[in-house]
Amino acid sequence: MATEDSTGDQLGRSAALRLQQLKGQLFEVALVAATLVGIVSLLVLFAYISVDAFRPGTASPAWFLVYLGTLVAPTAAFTLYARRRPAVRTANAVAFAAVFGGLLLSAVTYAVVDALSPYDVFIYGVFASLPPMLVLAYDRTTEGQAYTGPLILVSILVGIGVAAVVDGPISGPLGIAAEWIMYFGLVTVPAALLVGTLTASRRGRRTGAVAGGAVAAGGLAVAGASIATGANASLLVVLFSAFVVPTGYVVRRSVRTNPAGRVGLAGPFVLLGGALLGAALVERFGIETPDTFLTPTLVLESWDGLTASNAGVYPQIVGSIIIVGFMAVLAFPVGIGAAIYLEEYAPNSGFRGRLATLLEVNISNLAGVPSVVYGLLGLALFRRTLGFGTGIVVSASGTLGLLILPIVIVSTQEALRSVPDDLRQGSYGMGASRWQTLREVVLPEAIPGTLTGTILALARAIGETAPLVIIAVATTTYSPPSGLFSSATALPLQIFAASANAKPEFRHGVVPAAAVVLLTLMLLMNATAIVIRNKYGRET
Amino acid sequence: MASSHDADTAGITRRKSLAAIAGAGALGLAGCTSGSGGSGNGSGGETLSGDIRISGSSTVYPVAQEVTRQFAEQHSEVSFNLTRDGSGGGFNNVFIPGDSDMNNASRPITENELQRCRDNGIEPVEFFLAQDALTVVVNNEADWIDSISLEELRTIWSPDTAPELWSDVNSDWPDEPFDLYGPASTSGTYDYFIEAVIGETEADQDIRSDFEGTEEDDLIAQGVSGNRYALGYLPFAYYTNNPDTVKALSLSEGGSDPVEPSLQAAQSGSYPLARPLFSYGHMGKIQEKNHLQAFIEFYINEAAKDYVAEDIGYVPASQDMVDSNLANLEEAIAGEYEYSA
Repeated sequence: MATEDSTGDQLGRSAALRLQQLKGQLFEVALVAATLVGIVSLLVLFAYISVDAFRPGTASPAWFLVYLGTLVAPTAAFTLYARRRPAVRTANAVAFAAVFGGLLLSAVTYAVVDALSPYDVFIYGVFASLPPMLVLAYDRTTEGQAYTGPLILVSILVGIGVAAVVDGPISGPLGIAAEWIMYFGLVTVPAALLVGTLTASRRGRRTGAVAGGAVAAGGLAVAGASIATGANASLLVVLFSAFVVPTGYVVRRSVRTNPAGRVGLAGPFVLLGGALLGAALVERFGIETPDTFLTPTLVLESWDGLTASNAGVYPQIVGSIIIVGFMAVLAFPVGIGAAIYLEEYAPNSGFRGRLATLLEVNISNLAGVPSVVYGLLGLALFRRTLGFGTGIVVSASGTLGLLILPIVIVSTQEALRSVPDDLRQGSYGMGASRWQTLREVVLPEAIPGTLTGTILALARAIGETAPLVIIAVATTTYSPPSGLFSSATALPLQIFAASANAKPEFRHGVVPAAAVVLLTLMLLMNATAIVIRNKYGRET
Repeated sequence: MASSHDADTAGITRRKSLAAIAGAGALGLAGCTSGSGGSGNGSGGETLSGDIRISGSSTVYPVAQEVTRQFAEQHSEVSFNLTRDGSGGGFNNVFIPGDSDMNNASRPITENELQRCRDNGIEPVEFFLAQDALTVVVNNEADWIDSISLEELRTIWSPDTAPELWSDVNSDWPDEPFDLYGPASTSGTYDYFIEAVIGETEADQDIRSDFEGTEEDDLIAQGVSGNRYALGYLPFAYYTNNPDTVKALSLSEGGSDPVEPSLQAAQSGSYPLARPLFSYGHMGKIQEKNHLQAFIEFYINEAAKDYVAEDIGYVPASQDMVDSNLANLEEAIAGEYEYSA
């Protein structure tokens, strides 16, 4: 009896166990399904947009074969080769970051400075950078200066203020100088100083001076050669200083520090070379290319509302970059400052503690307020109260800055919170003050998290449409904004307008192509965030 | 690809070389240099410079967009700023506060708007630029109907009658419920339809409320093409560019012969739903800005060109309209213009 009882018991138990297991498996399946619904529908959407923009169906098979042979196969083979060898992979990653980072930096710098006028940017650049450098030099040469830190900040602000006053009178006479000289001052001089300092710190002052001098001389040589051949000297100077110099520096350093991975440096050049070779072959043999809307015209020309193949969004792209760039200048110091106060200084108890908690709850809620509401706030604040014109860069940047402020604050707070308290206590234990602890211990630890959060906020801002519509930012302009107080324009607005165009090739061709451009801009920002985070993450 | 830009400005040359070089990347630097020898400034005797801000109707936007593009190509120093705020939105938020130089409108300026303009010291200068034919559309498979009278349209859309079924309006039509699509109440098209078709109503609303209202013409066409018993109305420009998606109805008024929607019919006045498109200039700014005067003159003349009909789908201005617009411009420059309805 007893044995029978226990077997029945066991049977019952194992059935219950199996039921439990089944329940667990079903739950897992449900979770996988939930994950897939979101991801798959997003992928389908992106595929749909990309197919409309690229129109791969219109290309001849030969076109696919050519690029498979020159671009896809060699790059894939190289990547596979590099994946197996860690040294090669590291060199490959570094070379990719240098080449594409350099190209991106050159393009953005040139486009933005060209839009804002190189002379003005040069004047502001000189006045904002010379005073702090003088202060820094003074700090280096004399001992025990306690006030140079704050003084650097003040000197930058004063410099910008002075620049605003003298810009008018100076820019006239400065206009006699060629444009490329401004770019030389803005890009080549900093590049030469950077290379010089970096080399000096590793291999002595003399070599540093030679390296810096070589960069400057190279810049002059490029300018001279391009003037002689009639090419665009400004652009070539920028490309030389922000693309060739960093790439050369990184390649040289990589060869020195990582000789085993030397081959990896060829990675980006395999990709670029393949693309160029493919283009040359297609051109040479007259192979039918896809009838795509994602053309150089789209990225480099201005808008045409009648002929889809002539429509371009260059002013809108540069406008978006300028708006978001100035927004970052406005919102990041304020947001990060507020987060540091709330996390590190704000009292935890008493009446003021409750006030701080109330503030934090409000900020968290503000992060979820619809963007249209921020548009109304921007209209009320910048147009009605401060009396700025509607739709100028300052209003647009300010409105978007308010929009991302809560996101910046919350993500910075999160990053500060994740710094272990032991580190703070240890620092206090060594006799450091609160400010010293913050500056030397907490902030460096929190930088990766802060940067990730803030750059993701930038990516959100670049796609915002509703607040810009409310403050009447221009949909169509034919030149990018020429200053902070001139008419702004932004890419999402033109996409929105084109989606109402009567011609179907706009709605189903130009709109998806421009959306791909916007997505690319956003992905580039996210990629920058990841690269910066990984770099800092590794060092600390 | 033949370049359509005869005025190759410095900016465009620079951008082109940016394209060439960014594309060529590293190898491009070593090898080729793009040989786009900068051709100096194009045509255009006097150099005009400054900015021009145009707000208002999204219906007029395609015309303004094309005209400004051409003007900007000839005068690279003039920068434009175009927004699509809707006729009323443009007046209220941009033009009346004094921020824009011109406001496009797909209906005449209202009493209230005029009053507020004048309170702010702005005299709006009217330019009657073109006309748009409103098109009533049904599903391609709606084989029982080819034409409709304005009276029937009024019965369908008026809040006083608001019939459920097609057969409630005309016994020859099927016993099926209506599925109605139209522009949202923020649109100038909506305002015009209310005024021209529905008129005064006994109910305290302008139009029956059970229809799909949207700002996007595309969605109206999609809605109508998705249901055999749907009916909607659209700007003619949208219909001409997408003729296969929906079927346009001929219109009759007061027992007259039905007229097919066309630009000719709208121009001759035989098509009952042709609405005027305007642009209003800021007189003070017109007097102040030379480049604005030049642009408005260009705008007035361009609005009479064939491409307004062929590429945009509106009825171009007649010579009479051009003459009276130019007269208005001259009065405005002299500071003597005064708006009267």
